[in-house]
Amino acid sequence: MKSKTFQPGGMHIPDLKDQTKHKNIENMPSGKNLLYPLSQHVGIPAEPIVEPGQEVSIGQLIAKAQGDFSSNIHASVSGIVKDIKEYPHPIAGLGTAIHVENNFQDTYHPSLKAPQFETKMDLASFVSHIQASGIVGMGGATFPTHLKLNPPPDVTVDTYIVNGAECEPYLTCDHRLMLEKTRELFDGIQIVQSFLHFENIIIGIECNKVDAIEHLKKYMQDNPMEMPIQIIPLAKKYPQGAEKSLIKATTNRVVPIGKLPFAVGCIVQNVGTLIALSESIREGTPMIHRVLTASGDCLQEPKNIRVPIGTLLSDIVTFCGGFSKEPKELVFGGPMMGINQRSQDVPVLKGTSGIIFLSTLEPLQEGSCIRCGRCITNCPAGLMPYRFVEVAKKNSFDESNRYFVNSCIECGLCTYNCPARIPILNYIRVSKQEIKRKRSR
Amino acid sequence: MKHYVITASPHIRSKINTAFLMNMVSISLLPATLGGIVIFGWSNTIPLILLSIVSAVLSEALFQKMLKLPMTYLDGSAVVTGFLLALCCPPSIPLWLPVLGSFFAIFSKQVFGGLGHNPFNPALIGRAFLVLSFPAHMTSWMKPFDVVTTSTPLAIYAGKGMEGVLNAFQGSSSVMYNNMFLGLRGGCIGEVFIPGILVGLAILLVTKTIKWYIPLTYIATVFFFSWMLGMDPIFSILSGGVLFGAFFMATDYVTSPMLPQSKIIYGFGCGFLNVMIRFFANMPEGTTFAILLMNVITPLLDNRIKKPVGFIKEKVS
Repeated sequence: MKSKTFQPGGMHIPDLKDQTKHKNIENMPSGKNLLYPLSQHVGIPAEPIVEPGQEVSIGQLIAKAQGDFSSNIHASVSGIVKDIKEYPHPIAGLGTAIHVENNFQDTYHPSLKAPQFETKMDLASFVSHIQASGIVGMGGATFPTHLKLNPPPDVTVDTYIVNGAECEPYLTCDHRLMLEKTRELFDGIQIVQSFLHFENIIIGIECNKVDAIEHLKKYMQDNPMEMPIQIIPLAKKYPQGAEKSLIKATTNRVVPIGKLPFAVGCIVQNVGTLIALSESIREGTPMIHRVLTASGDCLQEPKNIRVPIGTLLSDIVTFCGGFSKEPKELVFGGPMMGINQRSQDVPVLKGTSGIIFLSTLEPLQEGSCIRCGRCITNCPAGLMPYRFVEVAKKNSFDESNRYFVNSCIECGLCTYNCPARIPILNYIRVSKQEIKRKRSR
Repeated sequence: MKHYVITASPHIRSKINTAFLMNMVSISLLPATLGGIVIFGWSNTIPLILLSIVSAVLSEALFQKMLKLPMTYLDGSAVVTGFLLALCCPPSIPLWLPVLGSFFAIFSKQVFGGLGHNPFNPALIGRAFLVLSFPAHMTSWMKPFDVVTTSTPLAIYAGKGMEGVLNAFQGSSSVMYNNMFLGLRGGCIGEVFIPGILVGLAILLVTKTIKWYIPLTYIATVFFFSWMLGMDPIFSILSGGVLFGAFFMATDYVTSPMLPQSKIIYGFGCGFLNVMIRFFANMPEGTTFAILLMNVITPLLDNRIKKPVGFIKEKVS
């Protein structure tokens, strides 16, 4: 298949998706206890509007967004609010969360109803509906969707890119969504298009998902749509799903450092987000579920599952039949960019695309740089990663700034490839923090 | 309560590590080695190669023990050094020479802090040390499939010009090309069998161990300047250690630049110096010193700031 990709950098890494890529998405029943951290998105945490002891039902708003750069949080089960206090947070380590005990009544909140989309909806009310539904990017970055779909008046956006790259190893949830929720996906695109009128709509899919590419093409033939949609097959290459890499791969435009995709007239959205958007407009369901991949080399039965947001990891492990091998690491997200968890007592967030259990630890013994140049060749940001190690060891972080350390997107390829097993990305993170600390002083 | 290990991302690693890369270089040397063994006889080559490798590994272990460094002497880098050094020695030299050379090669690496910190290619330092200290031994060449001594084509060229070279090959230039390609001439163990060297290059390129920049610019530069100075350019690249040096020595990770543009300049510099030494210096061959001289400016060539993707020059207002 003829495919496009981005330059420079990036590389194909073993995708390890075979365990789950043919498995249908299973609906996982909700567990007994659910946690809703107030910070599940980029931006300001939401504020709780429920009290301990209060009864809540499915879809009820339990924490309200604080300003525009924030997002609403809704209950995904019916039950009783047990308490609101600090709990382990999968990303921040610790954070305030609302603890709801499930009463298994599955009662829906009466306020849930679909907006009258067809007859009287303009861009402003569409955007405010999205905002009220608490929709954020489901690819992992969790950027509030209402901000993405509401470009500032001084920018013109002509290209809409649907992200079906899913370049992280193990993850197959977007792949399955494209196959199983095709109607909702195109419906989501249609809804967005009816407000924003893009000149091009591009669906970018990596070639390890040929079935999805063909399925979507066939769907488009069977259901002709009046939209300038094209499906672009992409070469298997990590980190193609990263926003800037995807824009380069599909449109050959380069987003300037420190700018949003708006700067080059693009909006990028994950397939999962569009499906959630469609459900929110058609059925009025706020963002209370998500599909994720539970995989790795330890689970008895790796699966693609649709879970209520707030579900604890321990319940997912039980649903997947427990472990066949003792896991040493528990990763939230994909294995390249995901965050390790200390225990199973953390909840699924809006941006959790995968839960990966790994039985082997990465080596910690750090060798000497042999100057092989792999970090430079593969860096998708075009940096010289080995330099950051050299200067960080000398404590001269100003120098790492001169080498554009802040352009690093932390894709992890430099560390992945380093034959001397130097955790280059860790040095980069330290450098970034040191520079930030110096600036704030 | 069960706790899992916390590490920072990425949580998976490529299978390729330092030892893998070093072993890949050793494997790529095997075809040329095999050619050398067949041409010069196993007893003149195999003990020399093995002793050189053993000496390099033991010296590495000794230095790491003495300097209280991590004991990484089995990571394949010392093997490569010993192997390379043996391959750029003439066959049938006294066996203490490669042992001493390997020791000195490893010394030249460890004295700067070990693997990754040495400014000079250790194997070439070892060879330079032997050539300068024991010139008589290091320039006594064997005739292929024979025990009599001979001269290398380059030495003949330096003395008698192209005519002398042709005389050595029955006066026919096609015999000369043929014999020089197949390694039927005097020379070092590893440098004579060109098909094996090319297979080695292919292994390195296909496995993405090295990139094409340095070998190609090196060879092209030698070809061009030899031609400019009136030497048969094909004779020039087939003779001496040019191909061996360009593929296996100049591409050494530690002592060559990392950025593509720098690699091209480096390859050009190696080729240029190589020809200059051949024509204007007091030695027929120049690969060793050309590469060592370019090693010196490698840090300079790498001292650039690469502009990242999406970089826009800020307007000065």
